[in-house]
Amino acid sequence: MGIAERAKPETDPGDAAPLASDAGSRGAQRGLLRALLRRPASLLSLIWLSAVVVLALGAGVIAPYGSADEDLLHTLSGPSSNHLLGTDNLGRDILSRLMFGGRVTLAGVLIATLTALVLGSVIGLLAGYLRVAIDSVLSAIADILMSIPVLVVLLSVAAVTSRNTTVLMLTVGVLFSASVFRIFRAATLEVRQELFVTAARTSGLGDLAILRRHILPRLGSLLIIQGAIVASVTLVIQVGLGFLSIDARPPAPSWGNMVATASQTISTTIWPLIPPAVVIGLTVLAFSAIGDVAQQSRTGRGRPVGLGGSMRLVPPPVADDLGAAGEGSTRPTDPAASLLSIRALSVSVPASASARLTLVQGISFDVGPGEVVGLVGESGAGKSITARTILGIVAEGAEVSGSIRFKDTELLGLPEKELAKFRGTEIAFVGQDPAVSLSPTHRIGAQIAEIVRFHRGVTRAEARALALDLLDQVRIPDPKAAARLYPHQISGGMAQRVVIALALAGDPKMLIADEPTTALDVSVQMQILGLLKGLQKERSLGMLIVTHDWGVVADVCDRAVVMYAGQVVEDASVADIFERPLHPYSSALRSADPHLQSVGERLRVIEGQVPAPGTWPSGCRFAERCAKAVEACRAAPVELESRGPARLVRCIRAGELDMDADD
Amino acid sequence: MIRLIARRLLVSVPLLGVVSFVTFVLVSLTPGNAAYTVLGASATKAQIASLSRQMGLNKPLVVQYGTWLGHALQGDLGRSLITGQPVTQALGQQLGPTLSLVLLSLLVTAVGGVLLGVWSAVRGGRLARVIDSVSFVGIAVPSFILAIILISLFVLKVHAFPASGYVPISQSPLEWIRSLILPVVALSFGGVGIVAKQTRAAMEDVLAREFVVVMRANGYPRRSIVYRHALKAAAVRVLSVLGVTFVGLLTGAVLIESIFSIPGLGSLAVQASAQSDIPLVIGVTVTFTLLVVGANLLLDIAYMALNPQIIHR
Amino acid sequence: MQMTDAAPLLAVEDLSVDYHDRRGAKFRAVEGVSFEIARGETLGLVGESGSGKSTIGKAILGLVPAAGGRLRFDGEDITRCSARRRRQLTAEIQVVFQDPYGSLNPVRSIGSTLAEPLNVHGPKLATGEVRARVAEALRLVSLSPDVAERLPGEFSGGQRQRIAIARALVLRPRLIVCDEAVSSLDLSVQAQVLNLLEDFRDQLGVSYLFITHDLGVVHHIASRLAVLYRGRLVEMDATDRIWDRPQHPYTAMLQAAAPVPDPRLQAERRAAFSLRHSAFLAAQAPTEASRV
Ligand SMILES: Nc1ncnc2c1ncn2[C@@H]1O[C@H](COP(=O)(O)OP(=O)(O)O)[C@@H](O)[C@H]1O
Ligand code: SF4
Ligand SMILES: [Mg+2]
Repeated sequence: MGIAERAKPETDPGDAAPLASDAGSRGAQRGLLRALLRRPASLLSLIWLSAVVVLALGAGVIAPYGSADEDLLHTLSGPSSNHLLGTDNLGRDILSRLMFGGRVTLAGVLIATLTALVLGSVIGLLAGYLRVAIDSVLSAIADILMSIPVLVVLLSVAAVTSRNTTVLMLTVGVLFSASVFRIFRAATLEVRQELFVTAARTSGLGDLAILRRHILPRLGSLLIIQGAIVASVTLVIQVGLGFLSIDARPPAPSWGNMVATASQTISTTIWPLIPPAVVIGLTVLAFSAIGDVAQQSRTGRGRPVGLGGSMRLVPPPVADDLGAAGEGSTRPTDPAASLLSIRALSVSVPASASARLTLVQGISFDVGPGEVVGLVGESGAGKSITARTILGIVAEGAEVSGSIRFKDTELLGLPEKELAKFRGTEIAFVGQDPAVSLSPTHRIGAQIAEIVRFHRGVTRAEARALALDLLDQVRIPDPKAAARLYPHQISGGMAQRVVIALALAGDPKMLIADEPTTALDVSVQMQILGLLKGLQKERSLGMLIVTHDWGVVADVCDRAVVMYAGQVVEDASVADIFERPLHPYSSALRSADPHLQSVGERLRVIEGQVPAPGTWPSGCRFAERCAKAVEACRAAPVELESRGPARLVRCIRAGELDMDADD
Repeated sequence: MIRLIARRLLVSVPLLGVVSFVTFVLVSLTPGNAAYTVLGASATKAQIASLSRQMGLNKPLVVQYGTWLGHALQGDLGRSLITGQPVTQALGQQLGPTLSLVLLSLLVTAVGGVLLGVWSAVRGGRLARVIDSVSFVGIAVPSFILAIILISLFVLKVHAFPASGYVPISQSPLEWIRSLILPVVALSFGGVGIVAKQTRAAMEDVLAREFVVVMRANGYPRRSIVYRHALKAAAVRVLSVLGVTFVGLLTGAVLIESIFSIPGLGSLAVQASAQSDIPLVIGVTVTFTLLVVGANLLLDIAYMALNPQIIHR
Repeated sequence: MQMTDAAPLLAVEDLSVDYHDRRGAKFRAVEGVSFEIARGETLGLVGESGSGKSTIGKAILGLVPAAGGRLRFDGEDITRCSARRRRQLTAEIQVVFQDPYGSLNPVRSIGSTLAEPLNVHGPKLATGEVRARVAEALRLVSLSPDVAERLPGEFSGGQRQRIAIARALVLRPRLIVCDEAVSSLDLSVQAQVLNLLEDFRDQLGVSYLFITHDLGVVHHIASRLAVLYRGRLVEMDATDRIWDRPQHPYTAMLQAAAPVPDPRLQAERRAAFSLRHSAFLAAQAPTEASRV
């Protein structure tokens, strides 16, 4: 659009600055401004808005005609060299009228928006932060204001003030301040409850300092978001008022009355309607685009993982890629005898537009029927990614290579529909945080009955009975009463039992449990582990337990697969690995568990931390923290090699060392 | 549950009081008074003064309001200054068209907006982008401009619909629908966009939660995860958007009714305000407010039905 | 002066704390709890979630009011002290919370978070001095001083917890309340953090109230233990004695609950846990009945 280009040099980010500056924190605001300037949608919007403002303010100088100059020889003409945007029914130049009319309309929007923002944010902040007794009164007033039918009230106000636009838009501002108030109050309450606000208080900060340093900065971006929303809505209202000819007095133009004028002649030509409609539309869009971008930069999230895209199967990485290729062959176990058999599994996600980030690489291990395997390692090793990939649950855009065989079926590459048939009936899943693992709006009994019914095709009544039976199997006292509860009404331990019950609903052959007890108290952990172990024996389930706790491995596992920085570093039976760990990491990790260390001595630790994906060294990934590291360790990728029956180790010194000796 | 409904009703009483009083005060401030309105420009000063006395206009405002309120509580909202028709009767006649327009539009907005929002959140990809653009356009084009465009396309060019007017459903259901299609489309288009956008945001939040992963991993059918569990968890946010949208629809209806010459409360409001017909203006305003109060009440009940944390602590 | 030296650093006497639900109904979270912490001592406060451990910590920090009893810090009654005095006290009593993700403001740099307590307390420090104190605190927790420029989002849970400890240390407090300060970390990282805390006790003479549900971890750091069940203390003694011969069935059960990384020992522990759990439930039953 020509207007926008002409105005380009004059626009600058300064436009949004006045709004931002009264919010307090420079840092957060700068981030928001950067986001607004970087995203094309918001940048174009800012440019458009600046252009509109400049043209409206400068109309007296720039506009080719006066707002009321009539050219009766050229009424209702289309665009021409004399009238770039044509003329209306009285031959007045539409472009010029748009410029002049913008003054009335934009001034109205400005008044309403500022009123709503100032009133709403200040009062909302006070109500939310001070939580004064008057809070409920203020909320009631807001409820009232939000229930008032705006336009109808405006009609009366218009009648009273004989169409005083300022008063009208002030009224609009007051009415809309209610919704701004609500948002600010809620947001303030939310920030107030953040742990870091408590931490600031225990650091000795007073109310004002906390408000200034921690609360306002969080709300600054809200001001822009709400400003944009209110502006776009009030613009429409302002134009609507104009349309009912209660803003500018004819012949003075406003965008609204231009629409009204154009509507009278649409049976002849629709043209005069187009320019004001486009300008109004683009301006509304500009406001809401700015609001959207600000919103996104505030929440800072792309699309969710939840339902995820189906994964993309890619060819295995090329041979030089850190030994992933040959691993399948070095595995001694017979895949045919195992329930689940993973070979050379790699998963990567898009890190940016062009680069990919590999999260796990060349993972191979087996889980036999009735076998309990522990997937062990510190956070960030890639255990959860591995566990979820087995079930086909991966982040959007993930690429997976390798093989995951369950019984006789290759799961990798199965379409989502086919894969879904395995979930719950063959392989089931128990997650880390029971408090958020259940659907919050359905009763526990109904959730279990639903999946029982789906998996077993029984009647509703049978499903209900089976659900109660499952609750009984996971040792919930009084299943009948429990079935009627909602998830928020039960404790974490009980919630985890419920999750286990629904995981068993489809009578699976295998259970994957990702840190099933990490979020629980030790005494509850003990009970849940006991329950899992008992159910596993009863049903001879294959089980994969993800954990960072060697105590859990010792308690329930038959085999341990130790992961470090996206790789398997050791794979051994529990008896072997506790008797004689062969990888320095397995040994060091177990030594660092405070539970078995003697009291009174300094605790043994592994210094440093797991390198994040993308920062893995090319040699042994553990070398940085390894007490046994030698020059050769860093030279080249280390392979996972067989060291004895059913035992794999990824360490060049595994043969020569006795791990428990020195260090 | 009862407490919450009671609270809403308690808020409603002052709401109606405030709205009627403010309107009353505002309208009384109008230059020239009701007597002037009744008698017209040709009346003499003496005539106006005597009628004013007769109508009680010289009494203090609060007393006048008290009188009005006393009558209103008995269901008498006075008579139109212009036509002399009882206000309640006028409102009764015009209520049907407005309700038809607004409720149909609400239905379209709710169903269309929620479905589009859910699809866009669940499918992602190209469909999401199409839906996003549609809702973008919906937000950008004010309903009354869309109405004019629709008229010029479908009425003046194609002659597919009646240009204006309203046919009561009792007269002919088919014509009733025909007379409302364009107005409803114009009025609900923007709302669909807004509701779709908010539904999508709410659904994305819910779909990112851990319980969705657990359900999916244990074989719950996708349809059930999306519609039975996630949508219900997102419902409170969606409902509050619908509440706000409803108020917006009422506002939009005022314009849409005058464009399509639908004899509804909106047209009545515009006309009454232009003629300074005080009792009528107040009557319309109070009626609109009552509609909002009713909608809020329904919303609250729906909240409670959908969010167990409110009742089952 | 000499008197105060002999007095414990913190004395909690017969403390009770109430919460109110939304309808105003009272719920007693802590009932008649008394204990003392000496200078340079670590007291472990153990119990399962919901037993009232954190509430006691919050009462000491002044984040919830005491419904009954007294809190004395260094001889001074701080049960109901003024907001002003409370703010001053934060220089003496500090806290490390469980959740390393929530306790640091995500949009403030580490340096600005650590400088915060310095700027509100005592004489106004020059910018250079603040920076030096921040760098020193970071060094204490084995982080490099240039960490100060970065945002919390760039750090792992363990590193964030170190930063939270650095914030607690920057004012050189005399008492630090560690509320499940290591519970959300990997066990290997828990060991690192426990060592850090021990170092500060040795170097700086800090006292700790170490709150946890894991008896197997706390006995490395605490010389005495207080065991809390449903808001009441059920046992308090030297750690060794409790560890060797727990008196209360609840303590006995908690002790057997911490899993050990050794299959044979763990099998024994599990057996012990089953017995003690049943014993505990049996011991509970009559009290339970009398409660209702
Ligand atoms: N969608 C993702 N995009 C980028 N990085 C991710 C994603 N999901 C996980 N990661 C990273 O991958 C690594 C391994 O994650 P995870 O499997 O959760 O480890 P573990 O379960 O062993 O703690 C972590 O560094 C984590 O931050
Ligand atoms: S390869 Fe070297 S650095 Fe790596 S674990 Fe073995 S000894 Fe340590
Ligand atoms: Mg994990």
